[in-house]
Amino acid sequence: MSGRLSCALIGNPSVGKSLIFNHLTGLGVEVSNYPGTTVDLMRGNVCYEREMIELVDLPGIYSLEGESEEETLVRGILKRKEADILIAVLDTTHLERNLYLLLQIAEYKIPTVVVLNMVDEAAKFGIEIDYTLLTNLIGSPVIPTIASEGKNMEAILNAARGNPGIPFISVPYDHHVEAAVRSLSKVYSIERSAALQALVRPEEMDDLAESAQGLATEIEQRHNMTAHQIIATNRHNYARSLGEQVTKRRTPPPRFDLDTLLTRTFPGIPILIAVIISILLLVFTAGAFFEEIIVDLFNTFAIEPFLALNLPGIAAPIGGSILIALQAGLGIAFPYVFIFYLVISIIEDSGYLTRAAFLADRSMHRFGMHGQGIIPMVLGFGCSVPALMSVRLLATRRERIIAAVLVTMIPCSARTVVISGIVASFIGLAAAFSVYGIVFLLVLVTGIVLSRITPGQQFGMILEMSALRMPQPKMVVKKAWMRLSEFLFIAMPLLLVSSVFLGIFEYFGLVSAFQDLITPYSEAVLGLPGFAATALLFGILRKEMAFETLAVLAGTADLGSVMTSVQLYIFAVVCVLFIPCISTIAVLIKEIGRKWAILISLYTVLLGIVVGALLKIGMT
Amino acid sequence: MQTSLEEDILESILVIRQGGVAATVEKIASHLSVAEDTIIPALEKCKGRALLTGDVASEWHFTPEGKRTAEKVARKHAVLSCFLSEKLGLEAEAASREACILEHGVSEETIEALDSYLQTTGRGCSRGHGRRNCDHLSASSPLVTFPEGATVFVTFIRCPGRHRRLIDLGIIEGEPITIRRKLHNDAVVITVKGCDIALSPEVASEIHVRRQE
Repeated sequence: MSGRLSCALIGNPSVGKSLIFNHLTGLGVEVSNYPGTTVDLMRGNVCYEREMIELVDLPGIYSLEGESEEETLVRGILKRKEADILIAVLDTTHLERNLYLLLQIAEYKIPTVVVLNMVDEAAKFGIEIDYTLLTNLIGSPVIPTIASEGKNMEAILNAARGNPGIPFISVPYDHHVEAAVRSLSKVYSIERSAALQALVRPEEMDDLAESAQGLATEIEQRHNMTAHQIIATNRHNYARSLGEQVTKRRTPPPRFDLDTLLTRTFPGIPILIAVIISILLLVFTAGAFFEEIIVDLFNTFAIEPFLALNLPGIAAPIGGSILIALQAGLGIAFPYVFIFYLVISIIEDSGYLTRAAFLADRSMHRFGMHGQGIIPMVLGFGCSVPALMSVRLLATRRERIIAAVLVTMIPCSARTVVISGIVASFIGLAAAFSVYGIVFLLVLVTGIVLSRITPGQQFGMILEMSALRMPQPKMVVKKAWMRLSEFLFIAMPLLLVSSVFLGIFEYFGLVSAFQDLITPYSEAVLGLPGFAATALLFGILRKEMAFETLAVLAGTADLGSVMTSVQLYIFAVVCVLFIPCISTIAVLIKEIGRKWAILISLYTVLLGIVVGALLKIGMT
Repeated sequence: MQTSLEEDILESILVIRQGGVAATVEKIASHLSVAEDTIIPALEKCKGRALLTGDVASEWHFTPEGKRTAEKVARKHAVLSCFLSEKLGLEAEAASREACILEHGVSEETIEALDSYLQTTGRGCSRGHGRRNCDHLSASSPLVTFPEGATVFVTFIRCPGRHRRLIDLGIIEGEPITIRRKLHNDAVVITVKGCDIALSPEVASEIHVRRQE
């Protein structure tokens, strides 16, 4: 082997691949106790005893033959032999199920190091593994580890550098399957793994696929089972006998099972609701507290000194805009988004999120989604940007689109600032709640309509419940930090650029020109003064900026003196519904594509204007 | 073309005679659980169409034509109830009841198509289609019909192509499953190979299981 050694971590979801990757590379990789969080590939370099090793963290999969994005990705890497060595990570507590994947991996004939992770938890369950026997049976080195404590991590690297063997373990399939595999590999001179894949599910439409389909149909008729079922059954049975050979099981000590509380309708659903409400309360109170501090600090130490400089010409608006954008970005990002991520990471790592998804499955069904859909929805109350990023956890494109639309509409913390700052303080608390009522009603209706009209098939939820674990503070902070930086990376540049543009426009009088232009329309349709329409425009940058701009343009913080209650109410409703902020649009484009991002933006603009106009007609 | 009642009468005469008993009005009526008076006009009509011979007082016999008609109806019933219980997973009794209704409206071509479909993909009840041939499946019903805490064994998964993930997770024929949790909407958490897996109601209803291995 010349050059750099490249190793790929492969295994079932939540077996500790990312944790091992983390320990080995020292990089901050997201780890979560929620199946399917690694969709983008994480790469890192390890310098171990003066040798460079490239490490790739592959997404968690249950099989190599499926059609999901992750499975296709991993299969491609194995087929093209892009990794010199595979590090197959197995969950020792569920050895049999994990061996099923290992048996498939072995068919690709790549040198492999087998890592048995979570041996400490397995010991608690009374499971003992004969590692030497397993090594002899598989043909590749087997290494027991405890990734959560970083135990035996160097042994993985040592084994990877020590020319690990190609696993020689091979599943004896049903003789019809074996015959089909032999004839396919002979006729098309392909490997056993490729022949099996063709029998199970051909990837391309070619001659191979055609002959494989013919053989598969024949097998199916003979056995009354699909080829995939037969092959899977053979593998499962082999994995079971393999597991039984190497496992010594003592009776596990009885344990208190929290799931008796968490997954029942009662008290599970009250607990779920309490958890969601306390997350929101915590984020809002703590977020508001820190936001105020950050904004104040910025005002005293950056904006005021800058204004005192009295820079000439265009420099002043540009510099001012940059400072305002920084203030806006950091004022929201750190307090709200970071706290939100911290809480969500704790919930994710503890394994509670899968329970929440299970309980929420029924209500999410009404919106054409499954239990997993609750995650973006809850995240959406904090900030739409991370919520939209989490949309990729959903299984089908159909669900992703529905979730993206609804997340965009859910009042995020910035919109809550608008509602509380305008409606609650100038009109009353009841009116503020009625704004929420209107928005929730629209979310509900949109969800129900979307579940009918969105193209694509609906599949049921099949979700492995993660084991309940104590989240590790270090990992939680690391993950929250990773996500925060992802947010800043997307949101900050946009915020800066658009803020500068608006500053320049204002300097050249374009904003007041726009205001003159829009005034007749805004008065006729929404009954709002022209400066309110301009404020709405600023809301595109960041939702609560609409509120701040309104105060600036109105020339007074006492909005009640310049606008009627009806006007304020309409302004708040339109602002909450009206077009997602610019960072949200950017993430929408990234996650579900330009077409849907434009459609969603248009829909929200239309919704805001129509609802505002209806309110105007109804209230005056 | 016969009415539904006439077809039912012909079918029940066939069943009664297969049991080696004389088909009297009394027997036919009790087999169909209707009053004797209601079937007498229909019996007379069948006699008029040369499907049956006999009279109210004694026993009824088939003409060759009558026997053929009766067998056709019986076959429709068997194919339909086999399809309903085997392929769609209805309980055997419910399947038979449904088949009693459907058999009168279904065309010969549909039954032929359904029969050849069952022959190619059926499981053990491809020959004869007698009601008894499906008996081994009567013990098998969708996962959602079993209570929380039950340990059951997988018999089959409907639409296996759509549920590859289930198969990869180890839900294969004969595999023991424990129902850990079942909500009122039939969403379940099951334990397979030591792992807890949450399933939506629509997925859970596709998995067929039975009590004993």
